[in-house]
Amino acid sequence: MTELQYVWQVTAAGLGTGLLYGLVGIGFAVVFNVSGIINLAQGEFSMLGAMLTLFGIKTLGLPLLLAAVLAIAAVTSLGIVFERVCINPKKAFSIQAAIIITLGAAIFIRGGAMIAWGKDHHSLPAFSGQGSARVLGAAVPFQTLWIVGVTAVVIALLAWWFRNTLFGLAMRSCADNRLGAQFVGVNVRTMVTASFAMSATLGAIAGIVAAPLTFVWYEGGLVLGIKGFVAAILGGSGTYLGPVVGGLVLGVLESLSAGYISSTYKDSIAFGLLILIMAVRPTGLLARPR
Amino acid sequence: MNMLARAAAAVLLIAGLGSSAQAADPIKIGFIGAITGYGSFLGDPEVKAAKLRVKMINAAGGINGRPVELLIHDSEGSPEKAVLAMKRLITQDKVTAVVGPDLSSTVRAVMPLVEESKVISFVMTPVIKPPSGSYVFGIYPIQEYAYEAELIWLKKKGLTKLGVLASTDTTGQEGVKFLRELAGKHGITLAVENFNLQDVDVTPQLLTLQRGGAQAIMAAMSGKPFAVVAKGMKQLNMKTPLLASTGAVTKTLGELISGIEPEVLIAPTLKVMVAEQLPDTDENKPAIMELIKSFRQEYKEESDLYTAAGWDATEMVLKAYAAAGPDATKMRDWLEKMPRYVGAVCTVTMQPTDHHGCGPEGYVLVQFKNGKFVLEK
Repeated sequence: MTELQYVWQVTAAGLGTGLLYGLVGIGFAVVFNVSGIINLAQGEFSMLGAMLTLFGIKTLGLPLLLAAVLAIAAVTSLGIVFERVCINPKKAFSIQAAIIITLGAAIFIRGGAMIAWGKDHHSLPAFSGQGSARVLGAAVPFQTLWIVGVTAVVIALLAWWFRNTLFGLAMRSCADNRLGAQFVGVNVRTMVTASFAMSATLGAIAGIVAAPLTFVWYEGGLVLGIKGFVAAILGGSGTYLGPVVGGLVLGVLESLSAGYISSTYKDSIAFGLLILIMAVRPTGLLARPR
Repeated sequence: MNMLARAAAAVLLIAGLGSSAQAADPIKIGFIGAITGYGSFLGDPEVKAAKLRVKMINAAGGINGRPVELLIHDSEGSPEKAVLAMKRLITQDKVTAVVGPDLSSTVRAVMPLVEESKVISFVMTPVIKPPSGSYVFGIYPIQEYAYEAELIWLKKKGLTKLGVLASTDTTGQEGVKFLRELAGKHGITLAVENFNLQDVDVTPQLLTLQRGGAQAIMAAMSGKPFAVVAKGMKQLNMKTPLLASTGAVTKTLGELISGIEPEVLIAPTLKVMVAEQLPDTDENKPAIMELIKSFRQEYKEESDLYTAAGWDATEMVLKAYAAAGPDATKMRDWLEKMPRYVGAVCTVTMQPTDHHGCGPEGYVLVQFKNGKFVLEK
């Protein structure tokens, strides 16, 4: 293996992992933009999506696509119910309180999943087998190609939704100025509910496509959630491309520091660089300062 | 006179009642394990086996006529929580013996407290070697024996360059330390890369090892992290044999690595994992079969090395208590000279200098083939 091939393979591995972080990060961005809430249960939505898909395939004997669609629908409903029951009824809407509530929900979902599915790790079969494709000489797992495709579709759909539908425009107006949106007749609370529904959908999708690479277990949402959150902060959550760019940067940093500097300190190196980047660009890589 | 006799009778009666109530007082034994969290794959079966053993002993009349009560604490895999649990067991529950902890990081954390407070701690990890006179005893043959078995296997196959992937926690780093000590003896050179247990991708580390010319990869971790290594090798199309550590051989490994099985997967494990393949002449087989049968009856689940560990550790602690309790120092002295014990993990002959008591014959090497572990002969 030549030096160039090696660099490219290490980078490609980082890009694959990073994309995953980015996909989870988009879910954070949707909720944050509309409501200002950081949904700490985002990773748990992903875990639940993967768990329910696995349940559909292994226990109910459904085909992958149907199981995935049902799982996404179930997690989305849960997102709506969660927002309606736990966050919406609060008379004085307080962002801090809402964030703490999402933390509680995260712990609750984790515990529930532990009771329902036990503490073992499970694996979801890769959508098109466990092999890998050659991309410019680097081995890229088929599943990563799935993640690339799904991320592209998700970003395209989000762009269309927020630009071309009245509902999407109303959500964007909340992101811009909540009070102003209220004045022109946008029901902000409905928009917050909608943002939670969308983030649950996105979380479930991310969890399902990631599952063959990350394995599924009740605490699996934790790491995905943290890395996704970092991706969203790093990239800036103003655009939906932001978290993806943030995720890719994080993934490549991790991968290159493991491959070139030291696998022992790779997390310290990656996160150290993140702090540096945030110091230079506190609004995130892609966001325009307001 | 009559009054006096009655009073005396009453006093005797009360005293009698008191002593009989005391006799029925349960013997309190502590249990600390990583029941939830990333170590749950070992803590959960351990605690189930310990509970079952206690239940069976109580059903048979308890220890010296007293029932046994297991005070269970979950360390969640955190050394801090293990220390807190140990403190509670010592100061509040006043136990003289504790089964556990299990993860080596939690064991290291509680050891100073255990030695200072003089309580028996029967740990369930193969990587800690308690010094002579210690109050810490261990189940499992020590890890060195497992690595040694694998190095001998490599030498037999003519492979001399071993790439090691180690987790950054104590378990991984201890493994590396042992391997470094042993490798030279068997003429094998090592290259070591580390990774974090939470990582979802280790291909950069694997590539570095591959570039260094590793002829086999050893992944010194278990559970999901091990599967992440197997997945990485599959992605990079690496055909080199993958050597696992003892912890990797679990009943769920097959499910976990389905579709990403390495070409050759070798693992050291305990006899309990290949119970049916053992020859009938194997002296541990009866104990193992009893565990498997009882465990299946109670939980409808299969036994593994962790259930065997929980089972034997509880048994030995209770034996020591029955013979020498409730004095921890006497229990320690008894355990150090304990009669040969044929358990479900291995055959134990403790020495003052050997607080594990299992020899290298406690390990068997298995190859993972078509979803099954096949005994390597």
